Amino acid sequence: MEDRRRNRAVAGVLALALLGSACSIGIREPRLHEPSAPPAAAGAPSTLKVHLRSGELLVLTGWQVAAGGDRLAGEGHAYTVAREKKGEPRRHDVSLADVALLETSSPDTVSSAGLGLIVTTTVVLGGITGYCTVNPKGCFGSCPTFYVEGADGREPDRPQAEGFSEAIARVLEARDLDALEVARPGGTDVAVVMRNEALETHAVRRVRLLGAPRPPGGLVVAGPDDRLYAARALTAPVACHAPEGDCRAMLLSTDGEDRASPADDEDLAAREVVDLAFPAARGRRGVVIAARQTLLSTFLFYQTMAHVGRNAGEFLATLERGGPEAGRRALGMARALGGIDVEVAEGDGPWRAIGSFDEPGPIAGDRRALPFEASGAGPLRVRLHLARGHWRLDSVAVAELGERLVPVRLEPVSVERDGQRDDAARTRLRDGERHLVTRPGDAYRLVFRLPRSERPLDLFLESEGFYYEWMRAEWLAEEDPGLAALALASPGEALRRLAPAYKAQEGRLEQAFWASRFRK
Amino acid sequence: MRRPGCRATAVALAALLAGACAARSPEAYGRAVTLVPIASGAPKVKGELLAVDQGRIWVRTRDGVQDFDPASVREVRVRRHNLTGGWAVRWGLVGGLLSGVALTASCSSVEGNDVGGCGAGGAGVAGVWALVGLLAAPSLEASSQLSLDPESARLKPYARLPAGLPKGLPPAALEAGPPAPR
Repeated sequence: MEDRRRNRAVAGVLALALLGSACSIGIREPRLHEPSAPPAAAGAPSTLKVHLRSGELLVLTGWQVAAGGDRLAGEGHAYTVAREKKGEPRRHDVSLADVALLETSSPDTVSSAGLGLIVTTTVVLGGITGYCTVNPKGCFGSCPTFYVEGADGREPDRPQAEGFSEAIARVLEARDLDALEVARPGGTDVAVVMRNEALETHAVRRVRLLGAPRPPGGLVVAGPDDRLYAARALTAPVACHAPEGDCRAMLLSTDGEDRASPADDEDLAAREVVDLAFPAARGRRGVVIAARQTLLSTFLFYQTMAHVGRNAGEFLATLERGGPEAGRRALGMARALGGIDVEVAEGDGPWRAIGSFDEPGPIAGDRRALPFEASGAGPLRVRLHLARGHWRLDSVAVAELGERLVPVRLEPVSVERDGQRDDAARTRLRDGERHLVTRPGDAYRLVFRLPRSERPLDLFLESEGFYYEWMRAEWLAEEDPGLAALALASPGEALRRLAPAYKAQEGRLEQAFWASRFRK
Repeated sequence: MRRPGCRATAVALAALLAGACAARSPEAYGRAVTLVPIASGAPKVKGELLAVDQGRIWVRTRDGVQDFDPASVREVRVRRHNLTGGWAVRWGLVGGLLSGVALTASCSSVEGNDVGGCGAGGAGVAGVWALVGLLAAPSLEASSQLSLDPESARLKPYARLPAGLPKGLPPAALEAGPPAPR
């Protein structure tokens, strides 16, 4: 650790010294010669200024003294005493008797600490963006994973949250809220380990822990707008029907046992319907869905990067320059896949749309409630529309949705890296003014102090930032600018073209993905 | 909206830096000089050094060709390069303005960001540029000039006419040309 810090300090000093020296300022110092002793042309400075007794000037780029030593000849410009040019450059031949003085100049440099400061500032303030847009290999990205330590201080095997999954470039920097599915007593400390487990560079602006008292017999859930609600009387489905048959057992509880279907053979955007039935209800309710994405969206992202190949730098630069609209276009295939669109109906009544569950990311699941008003007019039916093979449904329930809750929003009280306090990282994560940049294998342990509370607090993680995927050598072999352009121009068609490639590896993607976690 | 702003900032700064680094005195003219008078309260004189001749220092100023008694001048500052203190301040202000505006615009374009916060951030960045420019100015100003004694023989090589004024040449004949340095 000490060695690494020392090396970084040395590297920093060397870099600054290099910057400073690189910006020495070139100057030319004049030197006068008597006409009787003209400087030799060979190996001499490149120009000779011949000051004539008339006040006129010749600036010669090459010259020689005649054998008799009384004339000077060379190519160059002539100037009047007012320094107006006299015609085009040509060969001049003058008598040294007409020359008052000869002048050469030698190159020299002066250095200035001020210029070093300016160049360093320019490089630092402009460099990160420049580097990331021009050279994505060292900068390009996925999302940080978060693990909540148990009471025994052990990390779970799977992360409970993943931050800003769709923020694949700075222009798409986003804030993300994830349910941690953890409740803790008030007045205790909660340790969350933030990891960079992929070949990615993460730029994390903020990490906060949100806590709200868990309602008796219920839990706190987030709505689609990130507002938190007290959810009571969660009711499991009494029936579930999916294309593969009865799916009720898989969706009864949030236990990690999830229901997923294979993607369509010909069109990755092909959708399916899952129908669920619940007892009749009256009043403000919410369809509570716990789910995560399959690796289809990850495959599409990686495949896009592979198709872009050596032009990934231009692709990212274009994305960054294009702003949010370009960002949305870049995510076109993900948009075409869509979220889980939810409709409800009561008795024999018509279907009505109540919203979508669209939490990105295949690593950690999330739980959201989609609010609606129930009239009690017969059994409640819930219909989910989703792209085949795109979602892993863990549970679906209907809950009585109570008042909106205002959570406590906590900053980390301490941040550790490699077992050592890292106050600089803590300051960055708290202030949100500058990003904390992490690289593959980095891990930070964030400790939050919960306020006193009579009831346990349901915890949520709020993260903000963006990331860059690193280009990989094996991806370059699949470079295909046509398909890359198609993904942007016609996401639907691209999803049809990519279906065979995805289906060829669909069965083994999950295992390969979890095996590729990068840890020091 | 965002990236063109950043690109414009980068291009402008690069041009500012490159332009200054590439700056040279026109080859046919004398160096820009500043004459600092001995008399307190007397104004400094800036212009092109024409000649040191006849016991006088001849300078082409904005007001025409003037000559000065070296005994009345404390020092002559000869311009060596164009990265002056003024350039540093302009760099800070222009860079800060461009960078601040670009950052504010790009920050505001990101969904969920507070415009006021973005503006404050942009202003902060602009402030850093301006502060750096101000801090760098004295050092650059010092390196951009060579201070010489008005009686020094080292002054002549920097003149347009290092051999002195040609006989019979009226000084007014030297007034033509680009605006005298200020």
